[in-house]
Amino acid sequence: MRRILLALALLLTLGGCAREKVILSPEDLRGSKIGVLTGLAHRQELQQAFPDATLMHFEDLSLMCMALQGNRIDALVCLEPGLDWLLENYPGFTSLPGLDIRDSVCVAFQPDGTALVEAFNAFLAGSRSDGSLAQMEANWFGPEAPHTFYHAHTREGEPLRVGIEVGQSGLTVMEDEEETGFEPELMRRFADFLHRPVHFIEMTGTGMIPALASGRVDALVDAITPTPERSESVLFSNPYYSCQLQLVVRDPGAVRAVQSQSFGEVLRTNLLDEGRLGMILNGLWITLLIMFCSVLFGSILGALLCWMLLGKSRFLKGFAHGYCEIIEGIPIVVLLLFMFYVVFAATPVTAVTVAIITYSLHFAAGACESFHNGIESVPHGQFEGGLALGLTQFETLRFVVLPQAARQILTLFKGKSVALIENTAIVGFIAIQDLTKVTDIIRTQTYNALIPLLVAGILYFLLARLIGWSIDKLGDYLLKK
Amino acid sequence: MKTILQIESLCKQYGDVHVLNGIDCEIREGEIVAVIGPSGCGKSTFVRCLNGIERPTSGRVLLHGTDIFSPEADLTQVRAKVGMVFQEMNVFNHLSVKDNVMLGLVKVRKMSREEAELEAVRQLKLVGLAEKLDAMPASLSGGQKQRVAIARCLALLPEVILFDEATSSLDPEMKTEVLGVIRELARQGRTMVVVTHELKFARDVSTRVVFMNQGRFVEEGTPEQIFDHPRERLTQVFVNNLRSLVFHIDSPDYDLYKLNAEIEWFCQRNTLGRRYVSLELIVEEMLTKMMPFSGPIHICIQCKEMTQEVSIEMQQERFSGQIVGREGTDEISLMLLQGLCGSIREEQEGTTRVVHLEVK
Repeated sequence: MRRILLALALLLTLGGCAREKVILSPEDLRGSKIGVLTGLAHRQELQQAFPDATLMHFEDLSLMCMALQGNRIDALVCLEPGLDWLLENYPGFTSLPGLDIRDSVCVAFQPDGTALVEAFNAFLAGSRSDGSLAQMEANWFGPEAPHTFYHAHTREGEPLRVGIEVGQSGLTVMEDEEETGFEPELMRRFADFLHRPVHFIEMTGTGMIPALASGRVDALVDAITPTPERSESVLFSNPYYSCQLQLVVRDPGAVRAVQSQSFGEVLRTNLLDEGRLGMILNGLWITLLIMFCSVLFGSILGALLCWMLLGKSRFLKGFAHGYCEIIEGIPIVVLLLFMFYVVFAATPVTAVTVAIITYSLHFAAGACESFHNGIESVPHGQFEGGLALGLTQFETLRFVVLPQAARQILTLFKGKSVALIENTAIVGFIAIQDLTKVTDIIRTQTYNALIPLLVAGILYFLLARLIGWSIDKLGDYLLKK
Repeated sequence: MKTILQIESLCKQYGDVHVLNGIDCEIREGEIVAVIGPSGCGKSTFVRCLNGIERPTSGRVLLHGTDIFSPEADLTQVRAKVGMVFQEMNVFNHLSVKDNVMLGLVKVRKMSREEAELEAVRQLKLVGLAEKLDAMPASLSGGQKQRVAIARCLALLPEVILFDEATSSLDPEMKTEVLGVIRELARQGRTMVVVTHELKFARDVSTRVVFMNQGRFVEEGTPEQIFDHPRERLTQVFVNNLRSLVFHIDSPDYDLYKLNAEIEWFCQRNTLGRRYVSLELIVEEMLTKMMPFSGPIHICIQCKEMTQEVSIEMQQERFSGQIVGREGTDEISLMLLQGLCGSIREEQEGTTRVVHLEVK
C-alpha cells in the first residue's frame, strides 16, 4: 500500500515538474539526488564519489525509474546487465560514464552451510576453467539477443531451495512464468552439479536475509555484494560475476519519449500477455483467502477476548486488555516478519498460513474492541432487565444485548475489516504473491508502473466495497431475525 | 402464613463502603412490604439482593428454604419466581410491546410462540395496554413503558414482585397510572416488596413498612405505627422531615433554583403532584414583592399527612418597617396570593415578622 501511495504521488508530479536538472558529467551530480536500490552495498563509495549528493533508497527498480523520469531524482545507479534493459524501456534515459565502482556478487548460504559453499566454489572454479561461465556471460550479456535456455535435468532428491528476486538487477528475469537469466542458469547448473533438483522461491530484497537465516531457503542469489557485516549472518561463496556500477540520467538531448505503444497495447502487455491476468486473479484469490480466513478466525478469537473482558475473572480481563494493547501497538508488518522469521521459522508452515495466523491475531484485537464497544453502548439496565426475567447470561446477551448492540458493532467491525484488506498488502514481505506483490512483479517485468498500480488500486477498492457491502447485508439479515 | 423469602444477616460492601449491614427479615405470602428511607440508605441494594441481581458479600437469601446463591439453586428459576420492576424500566428497546412480554414466556416458561402470544396479549390487557401490542418502546410514555415492564414480570407468574422505585422517574400523571396498577395487584393479594418515596401510597397499600437507614432496618411495623407513632428517633425525624421543608435565606442572592428543586422534591415525596407549581409561585411572589430582603428569612413548608393540607410559614428577621395592612402592598401580587391561598395571616414580634399562608 505504501508503495502504491508513493507511486501515485510520483505520478501526480510526472510531467508537471518544472526544474529539470541537466546532467552532462559526473561533476554535475554534486548536490543532486541519486537513486539506489535498498540492497546496494556500495553506498559509502558512492557517497565518496559524490560527497554532496543525497542517496535516495528505492525498493523497486521500476519505481526508481519513474522517479528519475519525474525529476524526483537526478540519476540512478544500476548494474551493468540492467543497463541495457533500462535504456531499451526508457528511451529518455542515457548512461553516464565515469563511475568507477566495481561490484562483485556472490551467492549467500546459511551460516552452517560450509559444505554447500565449498561445493559451489568448486563448481564455480570448474565452470571457469572449462569456459562454461564465460559462455553463459556471452549468452546473457553479449550482443546477440536470442539466448539459449539451460534446462535442469535432475528431478530426484532433496530440492535446493534458492531465494531469488526478479527484475531488479538484470541478472534474473521472468519469461513465460519461469525464472530465466544469468543467475537462474547458474543455479540450475549448480543444482545439477549437486545432483539435486532446484526450487526457486521468489522474494523481495528486504525479506531475503531473514529467510535464509531462518532456514526457509538454502541459498540466495540476488546480485548480493558481500560485506563484512553481512558475512556475520550468512556465508558467501566466491564471486560469480563482477561488473561496473552504472549511472543512468535523463538524456538531455532526447525529446521526452513519445509512447510508442497505444494505450490498448499497454493494457494488453501489462494485463494479458504471458498469463498476467491469471497472475492477477491468483493474487486476488490469495488476498481474498487471507482476508476471509483472518476475518473469520479473528472474529472468533475476538469474541473470546471480548468474553474475557466482560467476565468477572480479573486475570482474564487483564490478559485480554494486555493482548489488545500490545497487538494494536505493534505495526502489523513487524508482527508479520516476527511470526514468519522467528516464531514459525524452520517449521513447515506455509507463508500463507503464517499470514492468516498473523492477521487473525491482529484482527482479533480489532474485533474484540468492536464487540466490546458495541456491548458497552447498550445501557446496563437492559442486561439487568433480561437477567431479572430469568434469562441466562447467554440468553440475555443473545436476545437482549446483542440485537441492540448490533448496529454499533457492525459499523466498527466494517471499518476494521476494510482496514484489514489494506493491511494485507504487505504480505509480499514474506514472499506471498498477493494482489500487491503480483502487480509489483508485473511492474518489474513490463517496467510500467501506472497500469499495475491502477489495477491494484481498483481491485482493492472493489474488495473494500465488497466486504463493506457484505457486512451491511449480513447486518440487515441478522437484525431482521 | 407461609414464608416465601427469608433473609439472614445480609451484608453488602462495595470496597470500603458498607451498603447493607446485616439485615434479617422475612417476607410472607400475601404481604406487601414497603421499604422507605433516605436516599443512599441501601434500600435498592436490598431488593436487588433478593433476586440475585446483586450478590451479597455475606448472609443468605432463602427462597422456600433454599439459599438462592448456593450451587444447587438455579438463579434463572429464582428470578422467574422473584420478579422485579426497575426504576429505569429496562423495557427492551429493540422489541415491540408484545415481544417484550413474549421473550420471557418463550425462553423461561418454554411456551410455544402461539401460546406465548395469547398469554402476552392477556397480560397486556390487564395493565391496560391492549392497544399498544405492536408499538415500539420508543413511542411509549414512561408510564406505559413501566406497565409493559410490569406485564412482562407478571407473565412469568412470580411469587414475589420487587418494585425498585418503580415510579421515581415518572411524571406525576404517569405515576398515578403505574401506582394504580400496583394497587390493583395489591388488591389481588400478591406478595410484593415495594421500595418507594410515595409515602401516601406506602401507607395505603402496604401491610408492613420498613424504615431503613445506613444499611440497617431501623424500625418495622404497620403503616400506622411507622407513620403516626414511630418509636425510633431516626424514624421520627425522617417521617417528619418528609412532611416539612425548611429553607434559610441569608443573602439577597439566594439560590432560587435550589429552593424550587426542594419544593418539587417535597411535593413528590408527599404525593402532592402538580401543587408544586402553586407553592413555587407563592414563595417567589412573597420573596420578590411582599417580603423583600432586609434580614435572614426562614421558610417552613408543612404538609398534613391525611388531609394533604399545605401551609407555609415565612419568618423575617430585622424587619425594619411596619406591617402596613393590605392597602400599601402590590395589588396584583396580593390578588395572586389570595387566589392561591385559603388564608393569609401576618404577625409582628419586635423586629421579626411572620406570615402564615394556608395553601388551597
